Amino acid sequence: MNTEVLIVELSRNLQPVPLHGPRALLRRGLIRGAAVAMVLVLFWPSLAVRSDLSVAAVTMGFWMKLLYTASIASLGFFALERLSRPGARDLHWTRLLWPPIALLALVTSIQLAIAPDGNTASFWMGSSWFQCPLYVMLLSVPVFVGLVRAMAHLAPTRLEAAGAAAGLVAGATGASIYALHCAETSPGFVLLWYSLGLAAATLVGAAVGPRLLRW
Amino acid sequence: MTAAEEEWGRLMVAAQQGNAGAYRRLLDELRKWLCRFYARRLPPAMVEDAVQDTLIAIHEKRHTYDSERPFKPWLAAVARYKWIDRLRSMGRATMEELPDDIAIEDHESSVTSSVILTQLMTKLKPAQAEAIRLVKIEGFSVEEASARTGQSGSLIKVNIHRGLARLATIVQKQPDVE
Repeated sequence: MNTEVLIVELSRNLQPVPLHGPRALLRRGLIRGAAVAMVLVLFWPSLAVRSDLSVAAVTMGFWMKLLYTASIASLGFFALERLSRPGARDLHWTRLLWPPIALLALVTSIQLAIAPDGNTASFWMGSSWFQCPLYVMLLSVPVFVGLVRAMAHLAPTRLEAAGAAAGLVAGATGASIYALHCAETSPGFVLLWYSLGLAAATLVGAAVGPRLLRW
Repeated sequence: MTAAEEEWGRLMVAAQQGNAGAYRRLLDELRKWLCRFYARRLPPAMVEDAVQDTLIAIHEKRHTYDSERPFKPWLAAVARYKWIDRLRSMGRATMEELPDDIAIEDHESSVTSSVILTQLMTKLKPAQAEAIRLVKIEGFSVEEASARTGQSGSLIKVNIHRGLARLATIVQKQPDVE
């Protein structure tokens, strides 16, 4: 086809596009995925919401976990939204993650200092370290699917970075939901194992991004 | 940012709101820009196709342009993305034999104008660059290229395939040009 003809065809019947469409699309994908993850946490045989949730909900440990994962999820979402459009400048978006990580590291070291009773093994390993990253990964899968489906309507041009951002948001959302189940209270545990789950989700996202996100 | 580029941003915003006239003007201008963009980066026979492909991509993804940001980086990123796609697909697609009378006009200057592509090819192994230059840019058949270089036919194909894959990787790692 001749290029002039193509241009005429493309501009015929031009439909207006929704403002803020990309963000809304991503948000919808995120919410759908999170809903599935929530159902999983409720009904997965070995999961279920912790029975002492109403007690836990007034403790620092519970909110610290949630604040850590949710802040990473929202920072990741900011990066994801940029990376889902062409021409995102090289914003060194990994730097965005340092504040929550540094803050949690600070809390961790304070706790270590003021609690010298010395059971460091349980401080770092809790009683569920082996399952934490795995469940975080499991719960991040539906969120990741939701985000990738939304991104199919968008236009990421740096597929590895966009995949990593999607993985990070999915991991952090999955971790936030897992926090409803997980009864660990040590900041050291969260810093170590939750972060490991997030990192794994990010790496998987970066690895599959170039395959899944092409357009 | 030049005045023209600001104007493109305005036209795109109007297009996003459904203004077909503005959109058509924009696409006409982008077409010229894209022709120049690809003429420096692709063999001449592929330029028109790449331009059309990119215009369609711009159309389908026009909602991803954020009116608060400059238009040019958005455009350049789409064009570059499609360019990398092209480099990859050059390896897969078998070149059609062109009728002899097509490539006569202005052949020399179109070939030498793929400056950026030519520059990039200096980063490849000489055998790969040679195979790509002969078959994909100058339009020789695999047999002819084989006779000229002394590489066997299958080696020519392998070198084209590997060279193009390598080019796509190099381009992807480079910061945006233009």
